[in-house]
Amino acid sequence: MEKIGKKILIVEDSKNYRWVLEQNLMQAGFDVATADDGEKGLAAVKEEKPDLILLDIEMPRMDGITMSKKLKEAGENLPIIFLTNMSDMKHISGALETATGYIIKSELSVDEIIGRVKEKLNLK
Amino acid sequence: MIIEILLAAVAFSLIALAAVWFFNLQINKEMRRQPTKKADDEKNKMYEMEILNELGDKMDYSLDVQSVIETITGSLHRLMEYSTVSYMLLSPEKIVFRVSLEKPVSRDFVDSVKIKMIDSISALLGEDFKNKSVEETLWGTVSSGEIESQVSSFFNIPLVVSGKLAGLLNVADTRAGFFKEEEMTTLYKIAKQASAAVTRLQGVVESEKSKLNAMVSSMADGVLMTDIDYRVLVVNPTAKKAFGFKTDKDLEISDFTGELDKYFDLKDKIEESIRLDKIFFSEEISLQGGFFKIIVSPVKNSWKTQGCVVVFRDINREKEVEKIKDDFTSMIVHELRSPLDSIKKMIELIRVSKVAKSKQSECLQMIYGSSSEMLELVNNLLDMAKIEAGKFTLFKQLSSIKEIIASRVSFFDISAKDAKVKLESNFSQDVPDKVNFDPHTISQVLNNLISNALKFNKENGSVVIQALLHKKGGSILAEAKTAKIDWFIKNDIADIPDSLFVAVTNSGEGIAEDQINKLFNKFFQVKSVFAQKGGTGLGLAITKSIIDSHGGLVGAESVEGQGATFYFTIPLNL
Repeated sequence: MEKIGKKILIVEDSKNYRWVLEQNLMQAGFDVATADDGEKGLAAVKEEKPDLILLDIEMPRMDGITMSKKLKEAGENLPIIFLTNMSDMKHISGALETATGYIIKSELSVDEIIGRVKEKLNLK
Repeated sequence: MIIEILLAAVAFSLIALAAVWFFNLQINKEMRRQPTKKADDEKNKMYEMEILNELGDKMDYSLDVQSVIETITGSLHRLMEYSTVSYMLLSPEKIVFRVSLEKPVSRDFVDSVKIKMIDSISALLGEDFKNKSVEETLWGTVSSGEIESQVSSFFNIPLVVSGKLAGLLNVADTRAGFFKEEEMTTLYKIAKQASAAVTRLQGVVESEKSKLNAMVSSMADGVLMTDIDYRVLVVNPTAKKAFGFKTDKDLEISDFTGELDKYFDLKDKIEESIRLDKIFFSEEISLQGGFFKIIVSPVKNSWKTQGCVVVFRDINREKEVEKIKDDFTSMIVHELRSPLDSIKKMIELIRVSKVAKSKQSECLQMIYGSSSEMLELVNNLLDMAKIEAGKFTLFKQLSSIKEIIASRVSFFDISAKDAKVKLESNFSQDVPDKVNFDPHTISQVLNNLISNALKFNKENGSVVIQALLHKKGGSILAEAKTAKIDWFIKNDIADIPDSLFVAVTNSGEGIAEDQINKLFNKFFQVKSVFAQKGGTGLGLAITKSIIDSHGGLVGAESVEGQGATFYFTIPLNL
């Protein structure tokens, strides 16, 4: 598999979903780092220096919206693609305010998610 | 001169009534001895009985003094001849004056009757009523001036209700000395009986009214009552609260119509409800006090509509339940969709061979895990449905709690290792070998508590399943100390009979004090922070139902940041 040379950080509390995304992104040639909540996500941003974050909204300890706000406060302008299953518009509009990326539903097929990631990174 | 005598008679008529009545009896006795008077006497008696009967009927429905008087004046011609019959009723603002002309009389005659009556009232009450406004209604024909019609004879009968002068009845004629003593006596008697009946009824109604008032003011729904002219008669505190009005504020209908403007015209609805004799139900509306439905219905007694009652039904509780149910449904859908979505994506990975052969067994293990989660959720939902339908039954048998705990520890062994959590158990020496309970459902309870304890734990944390024998009257804390059981229970639990006491203690983040009591509520997790950690909260609700049906207790205590202990009891003598 040809390496793209871009690193994606997946911050997602569902172990299964995180695993699925990780496998698919690796297959697509990305480097991947993972975290299972917002706090670990913030630490991973510093350590791993990713090019893009796939960020779940509902997570324990620190949720995705809080994490994205903290990044913004710290002056990080990483592209973020929010992941959510919630159809609750309150959450989504909260995410929109801080969003620097798309909001997509995790029901999208993995190929579609990878498509969005590439689009955001101006690949292909 | 005659006028003065009559006024004096009126002034003392209250006291004199008894005497007159007695006198009347004497006259009647004499009359019976005189065959020529017999016909008259019987006519009077008949009339008296008829009119009292009629009044009795009306008084069942109404306390309206006016309608009582009208019943009397309306049928008086059957008793006697006269030119006019009139009545006056006193109200704080005005005097109502109604006069019926049986024969044509002049305007002067009517005015003269009016003046005589007002003089009488002034004399009776020792107060000048000359300048009081009089609302006059006249029935009959007023003759033009050429007929000589002076008030040559008349008499007044006071109407006394609850010891107070309520009005005056007057009969007048153009001919002098016209009225017979026995006719006057009969009329006195009728008026007195009617007054007494109204007084009695008013007493009853006052007491009913105060009961009704107490009821209306304590009602959970808002109540507003108006008369047919939209005057506000009753507003209870709930109605005021619904609109955010101060409780001591006097309200008019416009206060309510204004607030309801954007939904409908309240006056219109009241008018329509009265006119069509129909009950109006509103859609739900939002007021300061939350959500309400409004019901407008006419208020009637047997012969006329008196006004309208508007009920503001508080639907906040219903709305809340509706919201919780909606949240619950969407949470269940979410909880089922997430693992299903993962399963689908993992299958997709294997199907298109995107995943290395070495990773495939890991993938299958995850699919297995996700489908187990879903199955567990569906089973929980079915259990909850059974519990709610009352179809949940226990199969009690002598069972060993130690064996069950041991089997649960080995069942969760792998999950504990995966979560990097130490799972162990700790019994006191005196835990009996066999106790009567349902081993299947108690296993289910332990499954719930252990799986939560693992889920809400941290790496290198621990989960300890603890059991001891509690003696009635003993201290749980002391018993735990003796058994070297370490947990987060800090408060003794009173009034537990001899029981098995089982606890599951974790070293997780703990639970905030105000959340603990809500934990065992169905739907609770929807609102709690735990919702973020996955899980539906159904497990604890089922746990509570199972323990309830064993006659035991469930509970939890926690030290935030250190962990929590969930416990349940199984009474021994059950």
